[in-house]
Amino acid sequence: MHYPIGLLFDLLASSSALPWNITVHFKGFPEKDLLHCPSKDTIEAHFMSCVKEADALKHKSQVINEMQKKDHKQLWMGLHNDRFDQFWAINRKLMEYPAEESGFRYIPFRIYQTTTERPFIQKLFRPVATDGQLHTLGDLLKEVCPSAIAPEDGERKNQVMIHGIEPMLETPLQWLSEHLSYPDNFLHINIQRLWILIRYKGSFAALDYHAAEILPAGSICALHFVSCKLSILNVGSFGYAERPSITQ
Amino acid sequence: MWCGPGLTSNFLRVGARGISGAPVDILLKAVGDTPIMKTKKWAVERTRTIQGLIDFIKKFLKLVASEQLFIYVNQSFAPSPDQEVGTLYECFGSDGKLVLHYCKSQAWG
Repeated sequence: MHYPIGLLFDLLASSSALPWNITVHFKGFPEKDLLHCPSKDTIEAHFMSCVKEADALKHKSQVINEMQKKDHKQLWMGLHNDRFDQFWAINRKLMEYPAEESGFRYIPFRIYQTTTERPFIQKLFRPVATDGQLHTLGDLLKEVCPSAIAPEDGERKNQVMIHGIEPMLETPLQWLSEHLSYPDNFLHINIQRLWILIRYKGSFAALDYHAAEILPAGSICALHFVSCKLSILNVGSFGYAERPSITQ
Repeated sequence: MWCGPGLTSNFLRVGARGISGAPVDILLKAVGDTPIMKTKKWAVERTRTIQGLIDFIKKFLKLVASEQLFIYVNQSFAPSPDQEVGTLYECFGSDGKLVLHYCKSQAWG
Protein backbone atom coordinates (compact mmCIF):
# COMPACT_ATOMS: atom_id res chain seq x y z
CA MET A 1 0.00 0.00 0.00
CA HIS A 2 1.27 3.39 -0.85
CA TYR A 3 -0.18 5.96 1.43
CA PRO A 4 0.86 9.60 1.39
CA ILE A 5 3.32 10.26 4.19
CA GLY A 6 1.01 12.77 5.87
CA LEU A 7 -1.63 10.06 6.10
CA LEU A 8 0.87 7.59 7.52
CA PHE A 9 1.73 10.14 10.19
CA ASP A 10 -1.96 10.60 11.06
CA LEU A 11 -2.49 6.84 11.14
CA LEU A 12 0.57 5.75 13.03
CA ALA A 13 2.19 8.59 14.85
CA SER A 14 -0.25 11.46 15.33
CA SER A 15 0.82 12.05 18.90
CA SER A 16 4.56 11.97 18.28
CA ALA A 17 6.64 15.10 18.33
CA LEU A 18 7.64 16.77 15.08
CA PRO A 19 9.86 16.43 13.14
CA TRP A 20 8.89 12.78 12.80
CA ASN A 21 11.81 10.41 13.23
CA ILE A 22 11.57 7.53 10.80
CA THR A 23 13.71 4.46 10.35
CA VAL A 24 14.58 3.43 6.82
CA HIS A 25 15.32 -0.24 6.18
CA PHE A 26 17.46 -1.37 3.27
CA LYS A 27 16.93 -5.09 3.74
CA GLY A 28 13.99 -7.47 4.14
CA PHE A 29 11.41 -5.61 2.02
CA PRO A 30 7.92 -6.53 3.30
CA GLU A 31 6.60 -7.78 -0.06
CA LYS A 32 3.29 -8.81 1.48
CA ASP A 33 2.45 -5.42 2.93
CA LEU A 34 3.98 -3.00 0.46
CA LEU A 35 4.05 -2.79 -3.30
CA HIS A 36 7.54 -3.01 -4.62
CA CYS A 37 8.25 -0.09 -6.92
CA PRO A 38 11.17 -1.12 -9.08
CA SER A 39 11.70 2.36 -10.51
CA LYS A 40 10.80 6.01 -10.22
CA ASP A 41 8.58 5.54 -13.28
CA THR A 42 6.41 3.06 -11.38
CA ILE A 43 5.85 5.62 -8.63
CA GLU A 44 4.99 8.25 -11.22
CA ALA A 45 2.54 5.86 -12.92
CA HIS A 46 0.95 5.05 -9.55
CA PHE A 47 0.59 8.72 -8.69
CA MET A 48 -0.91 9.58 -12.08
CA SER A 49 -3.35 6.69 -11.80
CA CYS A 50 -4.58 8.09 -8.48
CA VAL A 51 -5.05 11.54 -10.02
CA LYS A 52 -6.91 10.00 -12.97
CA GLU A 53 -9.15 8.00 -10.66
CA ALA A 54 -9.93 11.16 -8.70
CA ASP A 55 -10.76 13.05 -11.89
CA ALA A 56 -12.99 10.21 -13.06
CA LEU A 57 -15.03 10.90 -9.93
CA LYS A 58 -14.81 14.71 -10.09
CA HIS A 59 -15.27 15.40 -13.80
CA LYS A 60 -15.86 12.04 -15.54
CA SER A 61 -12.15 12.25 -16.49
CA GLN A 62 -12.81 15.27 -18.71
CA VAL A 63 -10.24 17.60 -17.18
CA ILE A 64 -7.38 15.12 -17.00
CA ASN A 65 -8.08 13.88 -20.54
CA GLU A 66 -8.07 17.39 -21.96
CA MET A 67 -4.62 18.00 -20.53
CA GLN A 68 -1.53 17.41 -22.58
CA LYS A 69 1.21 14.95 -21.75
CA LYS A 70 3.43 17.85 -20.70
CA ASP A 71 0.81 19.02 -18.19
CA HIS A 72 0.80 15.56 -16.59
CA LYS A 73 4.57 15.71 -16.50
CA GLN A 74 4.50 19.13 -14.88
CA LEU A 75 2.12 17.88 -12.20
CA TRP A 76 4.47 15.04 -11.35
CA MET A 77 7.68 17.07 -11.59
CA GLY A 78 6.18 19.81 -9.45
CA LEU A 79 5.39 17.29 -6.73
CA HIS A 80 8.66 15.46 -7.18
CA ASN A 81 10.79 18.61 -6.88
CA ASP A 82 8.68 20.33 -4.21
CA ARG A 83 7.79 23.10 -6.64
CA PHE A 84 4.49 24.26 -5.24
CA ASP A 85 3.74 26.80 -7.99
CA GLN A 86 4.61 24.41 -10.78
CA PHE A 87 2.34 21.75 -9.29
CA TRP A 88 -0.57 24.09 -8.60
CA ALA A 89 -0.49 25.71 -12.06
CA ILE A 90 -1.85 22.37 -13.31
CA ASN A 91 -3.61 21.09 -10.19
CA ARG A 92 -5.75 24.24 -10.16
CA LYS A 93 -7.53 23.00 -13.30
CA LEU A 94 -8.38 19.73 -11.54
CA MET A 95 -10.02 21.76 -8.77
CA GLU A 96 -12.37 23.66 -11.06
CA TYR A 97 -15.99 22.84 -11.73
CA PRO A 98 -18.64 24.22 -14.11
CA ALA A 99 -20.09 27.57 -13.02
CA GLU A 100 -23.64 26.21 -13.12
CA GLU A 101 -22.76 23.47 -10.60
CA SER A 102 -21.99 23.91 -6.90
CA GLY A 103 -19.13 21.45 -6.90
CA PHE A 104 -17.62 18.29 -8.34
CA ARG A 105 -19.69 15.36 -9.56
CA TYR A 106 -18.46 13.16 -6.74
CA ILE A 107 -15.93 13.85 -3.99
CA PRO A 108 -12.84 11.63 -4.19
CA PHE A 109 -12.27 10.48 -0.61
CA ARG A 110 -10.88 7.54 1.28
CA ILE A 111 -11.64 6.84 4.92
CA TYR A 112 -9.17 4.86 6.98
CA GLN A 113 -9.94 3.27 10.31
CA THR A 114 -7.28 1.75 12.47
CA THR A 115 -9.79 -0.67 13.97
CA THR A 116 -10.80 -2.52 10.81
CA GLU A 117 -8.79 -4.68 8.49
CA ARG A 118 -10.48 -3.25 5.41
CA PRO A 119 -7.97 -1.08 3.55
CA PHE A 120 -10.28 1.93 3.27
CA ILE A 121 -13.83 3.04 2.53
CA GLN A 122 -14.43 4.69 -0.83
CA LYS A 123 -17.91 5.32 -2.18
CA LEU A 124 -19.78 7.68 -4.46
CA PHE A 125 -20.76 10.80 -2.56
CA ARG A 126 -21.95 14.08 -4.03
CA PRO A 127 -20.91 17.44 -2.59
CA VAL A 128 -24.45 18.79 -2.86
CA ALA A 129 -27.66 17.25 -1.51
CA THR A 130 -30.76 16.92 -3.72
CA ASP A 131 -32.28 19.97 -2.02
CA GLY A 132 -29.25 22.06 -3.03
CA GLN A 133 -27.69 22.14 0.45
CA LEU A 134 -23.93 21.60 0.57
CA HIS A 135 -22.97 18.29 2.13
CA THR A 136 -20.67 18.54 5.12
CA LEU A 137 -17.93 16.27 6.45
CA GLY A 138 -20.42 15.17 9.09
CA ASP A 139 -22.98 14.21 6.41
CA LEU A 140 -20.37 12.07 4.67
CA LEU A 141 -19.38 10.24 7.84
CA LYS A 142 -23.01 9.73 8.85
CA GLU A 143 -23.66 8.14 5.48
CA VAL A 144 -20.62 5.94 4.93
CA CYS A 145 -19.13 5.44 8.37
CA PRO A 146 -21.80 6.12 11.05
CA SER A 147 -19.78 4.49 13.83
CA ALA A 148 -17.28 7.35 13.57
CA ILE A 149 -19.75 9.95 14.78
CA ALA A 150 -20.83 10.31 18.37
CA PRO A 151 -24.53 9.89 19.07
CA GLU A 152 -26.17 13.25 19.60
CA ASP A 153 -26.25 12.97 23.36
CA GLY A 154 -23.22 10.75 23.68
CA GLU A 155 -19.55 11.42 24.15
CA ARG A 156 -17.10 11.60 21.31
CA LYS A 157 -15.11 8.40 20.98
CA ASN A 158 -13.31 9.06 17.75
CA GLN A 159 -11.13 11.67 16.25
CA VAL A 160 -11.54 12.60 12.58
CA MET A 161 -8.28 13.83 11.09
CA ILE A 162 -7.09 15.23 7.79
CA HIS A 163 -3.50 16.45 7.51
CA GLY A 164 -3.06 16.19 11.26
CA ILE A 165 -5.90 18.53 12.08
CA GLU A 166 -9.49 17.92 13.12
CA PRO A 167 -11.72 19.84 10.71
CA MET A 168 -15.13 20.81 12.05
CA LEU A 169 -17.77 18.31 11.00
CA GLU A 170 -19.84 21.24 9.70
CA THR A 171 -17.21 22.03 7.05
CA PRO A 172 -18.61 21.70 3.51
CA LEU A 173 -17.10 18.68 1.79
CA GLN A 174 -16.57 20.53 -1.48
CA TRP A 175 -14.40 23.08 0.33
CA LEU A 176 -12.40 20.31 2.00
CA SER A 177 -11.91 18.59 -1.35
CA GLU A 178 -10.56 21.76 -2.92
CA HIS A 179 -8.33 22.78 -0.01
CA LEU A 180 -7.39 19.70 2.00
CA SER A 181 -6.95 17.05 -0.68
CA TYR A 182 -3.56 15.40 -1.00
CA PRO A 183 -1.59 15.86 -4.25
CA ASP A 184 -3.30 12.72 -5.61
CA ASN A 185 -6.56 14.74 -5.43
CA PHE A 186 -8.11 12.45 -2.80
CA LEU A 187 -9.25 13.51 0.64
CA HIS A 188 -7.58 10.99 2.94
CA ILE A 189 -9.62 10.96 6.13
CA ASN A 190 -8.31 9.17 9.18
CA ILE A 191 -10.63 8.01 11.94
CA GLN A 192 -8.94 7.16 15.16
CA ARG A 193 -10.21 6.07 18.51
CA LEU A 194 -9.52 8.29 21.47
CA TRP A 195 -7.39 6.92 24.24
CA ILE A 196 -7.79 7.41 27.95
CA LEU A 197 -4.92 7.54 30.34
CA ILE A 198 -5.16 5.43 33.43
CA ARG A 199 -2.83 5.87 36.33
CA TYR A 200 -2.18 3.11 38.80
CA LYS A 201 0.51 3.26 41.50
CA GLY A 202 2.40 5.88 39.62
CA SER A 203 2.50 4.18 36.24
CA PHE A 204 0.33 4.98 33.26
CA ALA A 205 -1.63 2.88 30.88
CA ALA A 206 -3.54 3.92 27.81
CA LEU A 207 -6.96 2.51 27.25
CA ASP A 208 -9.38 2.47 24.41
CA TYR A 209 -12.43 4.64 25.06
CA HIS A 210 -14.91 1.82 24.53
CA ALA A 211 -13.10 -0.40 27.01
CA ALA A 212 -12.98 2.37 29.58
CA GLU A 213 -16.72 2.69 29.66
CA ILE A 214 -17.22 -0.77 31.07
CA LEU A 215 -14.37 -0.42 33.50
CA PRO A 216 -15.57 -0.84 37.09
CA ALA A 217 -14.23 2.20 38.86
CA GLY A 218 -11.29 1.85 41.16
CA SER A 219 -10.83 -1.87 41.56
CA ILE A 220 -7.89 -4.21 41.22
CA CYS A 221 -9.83 -6.32 38.80
CA ALA A 222 -10.20 -3.25 36.66
CA LEU A 223 -6.47 -3.00 36.30
CA HIS A 224 -6.25 -6.65 35.41
CA PHE A 225 -8.83 -5.97 32.72
CA VAL A 226 -6.79 -3.05 31.50
CA SER A 227 -3.68 -5.08 31.06
CA CYS A 228 -5.58 -7.76 29.16
CA LYS A 229 -7.02 -5.15 26.91
CA LEU A 230 -3.65 -3.54 26.38
CA SER A 231 -2.11 -6.74 25.20
CA ILE A 232 -4.79 -7.01 22.53
CA LEU A 233 -4.86 -3.43 21.42
CA ASN A 234 -1.95 -1.88 19.74
CA VAL A 235 -1.16 1.13 21.85
CA GLY A 236 0.65 3.10 19.22
CA SER A 237 -0.42 6.62 19.90
CA PHE A 238 -0.06 6.62 23.63
CA GLY A 239 -0.92 9.58 25.70
CA TYR A 240 -3.95 11.28 24.25
CA ALA A 241 -6.49 11.92 26.96
CA GLU A 242 -9.63 13.78 26.08
CA ARG A 243 -11.69 12.84 29.12
CA PRO A 244 -10.20 13.48 32.58
CA SER A 245 -7.84 10.66 33.48
CA ILE A 246 -9.15 7.92 35.66
CA THR A 247 -6.89 7.78 38.68
CA GLN A 248 -6.72 5.14 41.33
CA MET B 1 -7.68 -20.26 -6.05
CA TRP B 2 -10.44 -20.47 -8.63
CA CYS B 3 -13.10 -22.80 -9.92
CA GLY B 4 -13.44 -23.66 -13.57
CA PRO B 5 -16.27 -22.05 -15.53
CA GLY B 6 -18.59 -25.04 -15.60
CA LEU B 7 -18.41 -25.72 -11.92
CA THR B 8 -19.78 -22.73 -10.12
CA SER B 9 -21.07 -20.37 -12.78
CA ASN B 10 -17.83 -18.46 -13.17
CA PHE B 11 -17.52 -17.78 -9.49
CA LEU B 12 -14.08 -16.69 -8.45
CA ARG B 13 -13.51 -17.77 -4.92
CA VAL B 14 -11.65 -15.63 -2.49
CA GLY B 15 -9.22 -16.94 0.08
CA ALA B 16 -9.56 -16.72 3.82
CA ARG B 17 -11.15 -13.29 4.03
CA GLY B 18 -14.69 -14.56 3.81
CA ILE B 19 -17.78 -13.13 2.27
CA SER B 20 -19.00 -9.59 2.83
CA GLY B 21 -21.98 -8.89 0.64
CA ALA B 22 -22.97 -10.53 -2.61
CA PRO B 23 -20.33 -11.04 -5.28
CA VAL B 24 -20.19 -8.47 -8.07
CA ASP B 25 -20.22 -9.03 -11.83
CA ILE B 26 -17.17 -7.99 -13.78
CA LEU B 27 -16.54 -8.03 -17.51
CA LEU B 28 -12.96 -8.65 -18.61
CA LYS B 29 -11.86 -7.25 -21.97
CA ALA B 30 -8.49 -7.77 -23.60
CA VAL B 31 -6.58 -4.86 -25.09
CA GLY B 32 -4.21 -5.00 -28.07
CA ASP B 33 -2.47 -8.32 -28.64
CA THR B 34 -3.22 -9.65 -25.16
CA PRO B 35 -5.01 -13.02 -25.46
CA ILE B 36 -8.76 -12.90 -24.91
CA MET B 37 -10.54 -15.01 -22.30
CA LYS B 38 -13.35 -17.20 -23.60
CA THR B 39 -15.34 -16.48 -20.48
CA LYS B 40 -15.60 -12.74 -20.11
CA LYS B 41 -18.15 -12.34 -17.37
CA TRP B 42 -17.22 -13.35 -13.84
CA ALA B 43 -18.77 -13.08 -10.43
CA VAL B 44 -16.12 -11.88 -8.01
CA GLU B 45 -16.00 -11.50 -4.25
CA ARG B 46 -16.08 -7.86 -3.23
CA THR B 47 -13.00 -8.25 -1.06
CA ARG B 48 -10.86 -9.68 -3.85
CA THR B 49 -8.04 -7.30 -4.69
CA ILE B 50 -6.87 -6.17 -8.09
CA GLN B 51 -3.66 -8.12 -7.47
CA GLY B 52 -5.76 -11.22 -6.83
CA LEU B 53 -7.53 -10.62 -10.12
CA ILE B 54 -4.25 -10.08 -11.97
CA ASP B 55 -2.93 -13.37 -10.59
CA PHE B 56 -6.13 -15.12 -11.64
CA ILE B 57 -6.05 -13.79 -15.22
CA LYS B 58 -2.36 -14.63 -15.57
CA LYS B 59 -3.07 -18.17 -14.46
CA PHE B 60 -6.11 -18.41 -16.73
CA LEU B 61 -4.12 -17.21 -19.75
CA LYS B 62 -1.18 -19.36 -18.71
CA LEU B 63 1.18 -16.41 -18.65
CA VAL B 64 4.58 -16.79 -17.07
CA ALA B 65 4.81 -15.33 -13.57
CA SER B 66 7.40 -12.79 -14.73
CA GLU B 67 5.10 -11.36 -17.40
CA GLN B 68 3.33 -8.16 -16.44
CA LEU B 69 -0.40 -7.63 -16.63
CA PHE B 70 -2.13 -4.30 -16.24
CA ILE B 71 -5.78 -3.75 -15.38
CA TYR B 72 -7.64 -0.58 -16.27
CA VAL B 73 -10.92 0.96 -15.16
CA ASN B 74 -12.90 3.18 -17.57
CA GLN B 75 -10.08 2.67 -20.08
CA SER B 76 -8.21 5.35 -18.21
CA PHE B 77 -6.58 4.51 -14.88
CA ALA B 78 -4.88 1.48 -13.39
CA PRO B 79 -6.19 0.90 -9.87
CA SER B 80 -3.61 0.12 -7.22
CA PRO B 81 -3.09 -3.67 -6.77
CA ASP B 82 -4.38 -3.51 -3.19
CA GLN B 83 -7.73 -1.96 -4.16
CA GLU B 84 -10.76 -4.14 -3.64
CA VAL B 85 -12.98 -5.05 -6.58
CA GLY B 86 -16.11 -4.25 -4.53
CA THR B 87 -15.02 -0.64 -4.00
CA LEU B 88 -14.28 -0.16 -7.70
CA TYR B 89 -17.62 -1.73 -8.58
CA GLU B 90 -19.46 0.72 -6.34
CA CYS B 91 -17.65 3.75 -7.73
CA PHE B 92 -17.19 2.83 -11.38
CA GLY B 93 -19.65 0.04 -12.16
CA SER B 94 -22.58 0.66 -14.49
CA ASP B 95 -25.54 -1.44 -15.63
CA GLY B 96 -24.84 -3.89 -12.81
CA LYS B 97 -21.30 -4.68 -13.85
CA LEU B 98 -17.75 -3.39 -13.69
CA VAL B 99 -15.88 -3.36 -17.00
CA LEU B 100 -12.15 -3.97 -16.66
CA HIS B 101 -9.62 -3.95 -19.48
CA TYR B 102 -6.49 -6.01 -19.17
CA CYS B 103 -3.29 -5.70 -21.10
CA LYS B 104 0.23 -7.10 -21.15
CA SER B 105 1.71 -3.65 -21.65
CA GLN B 106 0.76 -0.23 -20.35
CA ALA B 107 -2.25 0.74 -22.45
CA TRP B 108 -3.29 4.03 -20.93
CA GLY B 109 -0.53 6.23 -19.46
